[in-house]
Amino acid sequence: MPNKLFLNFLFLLLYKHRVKHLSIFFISTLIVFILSSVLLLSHALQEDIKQTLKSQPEFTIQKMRGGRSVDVPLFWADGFESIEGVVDVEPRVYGEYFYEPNEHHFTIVGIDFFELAHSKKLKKIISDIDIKKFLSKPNMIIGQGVKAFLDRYHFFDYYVFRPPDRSKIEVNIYDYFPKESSLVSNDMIIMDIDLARQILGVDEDEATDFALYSPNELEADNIKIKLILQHFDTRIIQKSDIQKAYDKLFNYKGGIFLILYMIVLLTFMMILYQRYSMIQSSDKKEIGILRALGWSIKDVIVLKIGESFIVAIFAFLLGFILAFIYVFFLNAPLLGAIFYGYSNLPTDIVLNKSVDFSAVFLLFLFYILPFMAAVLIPAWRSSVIDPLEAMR
Amino acid sequence: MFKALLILTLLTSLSFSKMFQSVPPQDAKLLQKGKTKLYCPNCGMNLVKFYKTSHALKENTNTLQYCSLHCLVDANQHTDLIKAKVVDAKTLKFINAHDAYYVIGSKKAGTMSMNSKYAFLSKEDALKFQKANGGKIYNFHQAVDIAYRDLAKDNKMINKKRKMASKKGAMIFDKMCKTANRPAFHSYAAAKEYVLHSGSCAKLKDRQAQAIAIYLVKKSVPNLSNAIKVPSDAKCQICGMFVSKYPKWAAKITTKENKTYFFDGNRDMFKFYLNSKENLDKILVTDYYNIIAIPAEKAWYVIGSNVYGPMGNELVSFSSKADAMSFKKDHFATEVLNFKSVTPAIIEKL
Repeated sequence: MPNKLFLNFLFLLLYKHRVKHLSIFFISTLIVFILSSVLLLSHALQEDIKQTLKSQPEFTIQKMRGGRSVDVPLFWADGFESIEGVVDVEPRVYGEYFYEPNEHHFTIVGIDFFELAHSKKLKKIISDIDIKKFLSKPNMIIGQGVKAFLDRYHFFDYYVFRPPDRSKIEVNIYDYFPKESSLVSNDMIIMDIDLARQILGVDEDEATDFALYSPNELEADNIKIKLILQHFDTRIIQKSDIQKAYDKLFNYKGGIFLILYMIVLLTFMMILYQRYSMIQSSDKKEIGILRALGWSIKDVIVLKIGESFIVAIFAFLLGFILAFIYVFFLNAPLLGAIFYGYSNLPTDIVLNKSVDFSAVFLLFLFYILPFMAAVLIPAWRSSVIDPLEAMR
Repeated sequence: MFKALLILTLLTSLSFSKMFQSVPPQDAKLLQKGKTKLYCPNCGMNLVKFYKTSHALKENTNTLQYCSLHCLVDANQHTDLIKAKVVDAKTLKFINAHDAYYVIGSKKAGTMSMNSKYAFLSKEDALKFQKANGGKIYNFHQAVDIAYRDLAKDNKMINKKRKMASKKGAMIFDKMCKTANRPAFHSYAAAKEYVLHSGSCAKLKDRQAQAIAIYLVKKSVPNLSNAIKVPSDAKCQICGMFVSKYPKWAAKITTKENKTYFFDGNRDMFKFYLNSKENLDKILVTDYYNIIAIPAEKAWYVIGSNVYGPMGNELVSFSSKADAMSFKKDHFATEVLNFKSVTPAIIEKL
C-alpha cells in the first residue's frame, strides 16, 4: 500500500514530468467542465420548473372547437365545483398581446387579486403591493424582459394597449418581477383580471381557461373521468402531463449532450492510450533504476496509475469548480441559450444554486473509470521493461 | 389619463350587459321597495345582473323579487306559488308565471342552478329560443317541480361555492374595508347594501361585494383548517413508519397528559385507540378530499375501497357523509361507518 514516502515520491515525479501531464490535464479539465456545466444547468432549470409546477393547478381545462381552444363560459365552474375532491376552481384570463411593429408579444395574465393565490411566487409579489392602491387605477406588474423591451421604446411609466375594439387603454407600470423568476415571468405582465379581459377581448362571462385545484392526487384520475363526462368539448391538462412534457424536453436536450460526451470520451481515451504508450528513453531509464532498486512490477504499476489518477482527480475538481462558477455565477452564457431555446423576448435568468450530487458522482465514475482503463495497459507495458535493457 | 379612465368606465358599463341574464339598468323593472330593492332577498345577487331569470311574489302587501326560480322555490317551500310573476326573457316585462312557457336545460347559463330556466310569454319565442339554444319546453307547474328536484343538488353546489366565496370575502373585507368592527347580518341583501352603500368599503365590483356579503352573513368566521402538522421524525405508534411521508393519511391522538401520538393511517389510529388505557383527549384524522384535519369523532369512515394507504387497506375518512357516500360509489367500497361503529372486529378484518 502506498505510504507517505511513496506519495511524496509520486508527487515529486509528477512535478518533474509536469509538461508531459499538462496537456492531458487541460483536455480532461475541459471535458469535465463542459459536461458538468450541462449537468448543472439542466438540473438547475429542472429544479426551477419543478418548483413552479408544484404550485400549478392539478387540472387545466380548456374549451375546444375543431381542435382550437376557445374561451370557456364561466358557468361551467358550477359543474366543476360540484365534483368531490375539487377544492377550488379558478377562472383564468391570459393571452398574448402582440406588439405590432416588432412582432414581439407580451403574455398578459389577468389576476383576481382576491383569489386565494396558489402560486407561491405570485403570492409573494402580491403580498408586497397595496391592493387598494393597485386597483384604484389601471396598473400592471411587468417581467424583466418586458421592462427591457419597453425601456427601449421609452415607455418608462406606462404603456398604451390597443384592445380589439380599437380603443386605447393606458396602463401604469406599478412594479417589476424579481429577476429570480425570469424563466417563467420574463415576458409576463400581471394586471387585474377585468382589465386583462378588456385588453385581450375576453367577454365578461367567459375566461381563457379554468384552473382546478385538488389537494389529493390519489383522486386525480377519478376527477378526470368526471370532468370528461361533464363536457365533451374540453381539453383537460393534468399537472403530471406538463411535468412529463418538461422532463422529456430536458432529457432530450441532455441526451444529445450525453451522446456527444460519449464520442468525446472515446476520442479522449484513445489520446490517453497513445500518450501513455509512448515510452521515452528517459522514462525507460527511470523505470529501470526503480526496478534495479528492488521495486516490483506491481509497485511500478501502482506508481504509474497513481500518477494518472492524481491528474484525473485534480482535472475533475478543477473542471467541476469552473463549471459551477460558469453556471451559477456567470449564468452560463452561450450554453444557456441552447437550453432556454427560442425566446420571444431575450431571457436573463438568475439560476438557483442546486446540485444533483448523484449525477455528479455518476459523472465522476464515468470519467475516472475510462480514464484509468485507458492508462492501465500503457502503465503495465512500461513497468515490465527489463531493467538491464532500460539502463543500457 | 382622465381620458383613459373614462374609456375604462365606459367599457365596464358596456361589458356589464354582456352576461346573458343581464340587461341595461334602465330596462330592468324592480317590483321591490326599500334600500335593498336591488338585491335578491334570498341570495343577495344583483337583480339587474340576473334580470332575465327574475321572479317575483307578492306576500301580503310587499312584493319580493328573486333572482331565479331556484331562489323563489328555496325561499317559499311551503307557500303557494300560483301568484308568482316572472320576467319574459324576450320582452323583459313581468308576466304571470302561470302563463309562461319555460325553456329548461338550454345551453345558456342558469342562475343559481346548473339547469338553466328561462320563461317566455309567447310559445313562438320559447320555440325560437329552444331552437337556438336547446332545452325542453315546460309550463310553470312542471318548472317548479323541476326546480324542487334540482334544489338539493343546486344547494350543494351553492353551499360549496359560498364556502369558497366566504374565504375570499374575508380577504377582500380585510383589504378593502374598514375592518375595525365586523358587522353581522341575517340576510345577504342587507349585507350587500351595507358593503356597497355604507361607505365603509372602497369601491367594489358586484362579484366582490357578494363575496363580502356571504362572509358577513356567515355566523362563524371561516375556519381555514390545515392539514395535521407532523414532525419529520415522528413515527407511527403501531407500525413504526415515518408519518410525515404520508401526510394524506396522517392521524394524531393527544392525551390529557399532553402526550401526542402520530399514525400513518386511520387503521393504526383505531388499533391504538381501541386498546389504549390512557386518558385520550383529542383525536384528529385527515379528510381524504381536502387534506385537512378533522375531529375523528365527527368523521365518516369508508372501508373496502380500492384506495390503499401506506399500510394497505384503510379506513378512509371524510368530514361529511355525502362525501363519504360519493367516495363509496366511486371507489367500489363496501361500507360507510361513523366513529362509534368502528369495532375491533372490523379493524381485524381489514
